Amino acid sequence: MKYKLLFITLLLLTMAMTACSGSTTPSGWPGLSVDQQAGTVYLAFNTEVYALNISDGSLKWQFPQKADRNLSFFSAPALTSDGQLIIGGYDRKLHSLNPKNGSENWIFEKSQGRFIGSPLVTEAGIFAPNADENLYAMDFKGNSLWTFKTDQALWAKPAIQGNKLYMAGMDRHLYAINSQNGQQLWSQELSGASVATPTLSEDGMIYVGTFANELLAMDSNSGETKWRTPTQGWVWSDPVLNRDILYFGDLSGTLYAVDRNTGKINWKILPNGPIAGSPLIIGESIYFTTESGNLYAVDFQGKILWNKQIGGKIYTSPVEAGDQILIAPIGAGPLLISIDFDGNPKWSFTPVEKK
Amino acid sequence: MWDTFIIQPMLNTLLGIYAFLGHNFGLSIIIFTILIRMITYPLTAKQQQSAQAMQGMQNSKKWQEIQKKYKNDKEKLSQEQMRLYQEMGINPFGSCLPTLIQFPIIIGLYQALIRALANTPIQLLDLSRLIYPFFPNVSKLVPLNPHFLWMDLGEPERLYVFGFGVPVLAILVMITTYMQSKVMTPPSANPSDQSGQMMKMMNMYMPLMLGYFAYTFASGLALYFVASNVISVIQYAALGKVNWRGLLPSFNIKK
Repeated sequence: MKYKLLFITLLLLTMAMTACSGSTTPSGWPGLSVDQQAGTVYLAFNTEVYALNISDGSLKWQFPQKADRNLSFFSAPALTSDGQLIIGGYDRKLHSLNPKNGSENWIFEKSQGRFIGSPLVTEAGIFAPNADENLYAMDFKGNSLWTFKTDQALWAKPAIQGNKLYMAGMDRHLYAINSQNGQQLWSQELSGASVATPTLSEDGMIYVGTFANELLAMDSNSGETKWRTPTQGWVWSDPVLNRDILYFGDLSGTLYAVDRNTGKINWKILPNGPIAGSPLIIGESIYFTTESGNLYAVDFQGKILWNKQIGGKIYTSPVEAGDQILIAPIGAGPLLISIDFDGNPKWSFTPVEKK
Repeated sequence: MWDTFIIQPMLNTLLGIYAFLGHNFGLSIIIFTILIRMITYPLTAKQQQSAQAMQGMQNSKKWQEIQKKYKNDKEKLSQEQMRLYQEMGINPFGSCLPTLIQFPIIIGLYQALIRALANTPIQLLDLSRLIYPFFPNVSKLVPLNPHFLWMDLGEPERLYVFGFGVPVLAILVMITTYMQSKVMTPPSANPSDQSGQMMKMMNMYMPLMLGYFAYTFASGLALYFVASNVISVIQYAALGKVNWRGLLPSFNIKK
C-alpha cells in the first residue's frame, strides 16, 4: 500500500516539475516602437509582434499569424531606412519583417542566445546584442559584418555617435567599439552589470546606470569616469537628458534629477513602485511609469502633477506617438493603452486569441 | 511563505557558496548538495534503518510461513503483516516519509537555481528582490556566470559531437540513480513477492523519471541529481552497508 502511495507521489512530482517549467508568467515585458510617418505602432510581446494603427489601436497585422510557442519577442522592433522591421526573438534568431504586412524577409541565425535587448539600426547596418555574449553587426540583408565578444550576456541596446558604438554589458564593462570593423577602442570597468543603453551628450560624455546602485558619467574618448552618483536601487534603464539634467528611475522606486556636470542630485521622489523604464519628457512634463501600474506626470522641480492608475505591472518605457502617450503593461488585460498628455484614456488594444 | 522559508534561504546560500568559490556555479551546486545531504542525513538514515528493518522482516522465516499460510486470503495476509510490523516495532511508512520530504527540497532547489541564474528580465527583476539586503558585494556577483565545463547551467545540457547533441548528464543521472538504488537495496530473499516486484518497478521508474527531468530541465538540476546520487553511495559506503553485489544481476538470490 505504501509503495502505491510513493508511486502516486512520484507521478505527481513528475507532473509538478513539468508544470513548473512551462510557466505561464511571461519572461519579459513588451517592446514598443512607433513609426509616426506610417501611422503604425509596433508592439512585441510573448508569441507575437503586432502592427497597430496609431490613431485607434486597431490591428494591421501580426507575426506570426498563428502563435508558435517556440517564438517569443520581448524587445522593441527597429525600422531600417530601406523599409524593414527588425526584431530579435527568444528563439535565438533575428527576424527581418516587411512592416506593411508582417511577411518575413530574412532570418539571422548565427546567434546562440536570446535577443533580449533591441537592435540598433543606423545607416551603416544593424547592431544586435545577444545573450550569448556577442554583439552582432550585419548588413541589411542579414549578412554578418563582424562580431564583438564580451564576457557575459548582452541585454542592452548599444548607443552610437559618429562611428563609435557604446555598449554596456552584464560583464560589468562599458565598451567603445569602432562600428565599421568591430575593433575595441576602449573598455572601462563598471562596478556592476548594466542592461541600459548609455545616454550620450553632444559634448562627449556618456551616462550609464548599473546594478551596483549608481549612475556614472564617463568621457567618451577615454572611458575615464568623471563622477559617480549613488542610487537607492538597481538602475535598469537609460537616463533621459534634458537641459543638462539627467532624469531616471531605479528599482527602489526613486525618480532622480541629477546635474550632468557634477552628478549632484537636484531632487528625488519616491512615488510608488519600482521604475524599470526610462522617463518620457514632453513639453514641461516628465512622464514615467512604475511596477505598481501607475503613470505619473511630474514637473521639472519634481512636483507630481497627476497620476493615473493604468493597471497591471508596467516595466516598458512610455513612448510618445503624436498627441498621445503609449503604455504597455503586463497583466492588465489590454496590451497597449493610449493616454493623452493630461492622463485621459484614448484607446486600448487587447489581442484576440487566434485558434 | 514558500519563497521566504524555502527559496530565499536556498538561493542566498547558493550565492554565498558561489561568492566563496570564485564564481563557479557548478561547484557551488555540488557543495550545496553536500550541505543538503548533511542536513537531511538524520532523515535518510532513518529511512535506511526502516528499509533495512522491513527487508529483515520480509526475509524472516516467520513472514514467509505467514505468506504460505494465507496466500489465498489477501485480507488476512495484510492483517498479519500489520501485526508483524507492530511486533517487530516497524513503522511501515518510516521509509517513505523521508523520501516524500526530499521532493519539496528538489522542487525548492530547482526553483532557487533557476531564479539565481535569472535568464530573463522578469527573473532578474525577481532575483533583485530575493537577495537578502545585507548580502555583501551583490553587484560583483549578479548576474551569475552560468558556464560550468561544457554546460550552461540554466539550459538543458547537450554535448555536441559531430553535430549531434548528446545529453551526457541525463545519461549520467540515469546510470547513477540506477546504481544507487541497486547498491543501497539489500538483497531480497524472495524477489518474486509483491514488495519485491514493487521495489523492482521503483528501481526502473526512478532512473527514467530523473533522466527525463535531466533531459528537459536546466542542467543545474541534473548536476544536483548526479552529485546527490554519488554522495548517497559514499555516505552509505562509509557506514559499510553498501551492497556492491546488487549491481550484478546474477548475484541476486533466487529460490
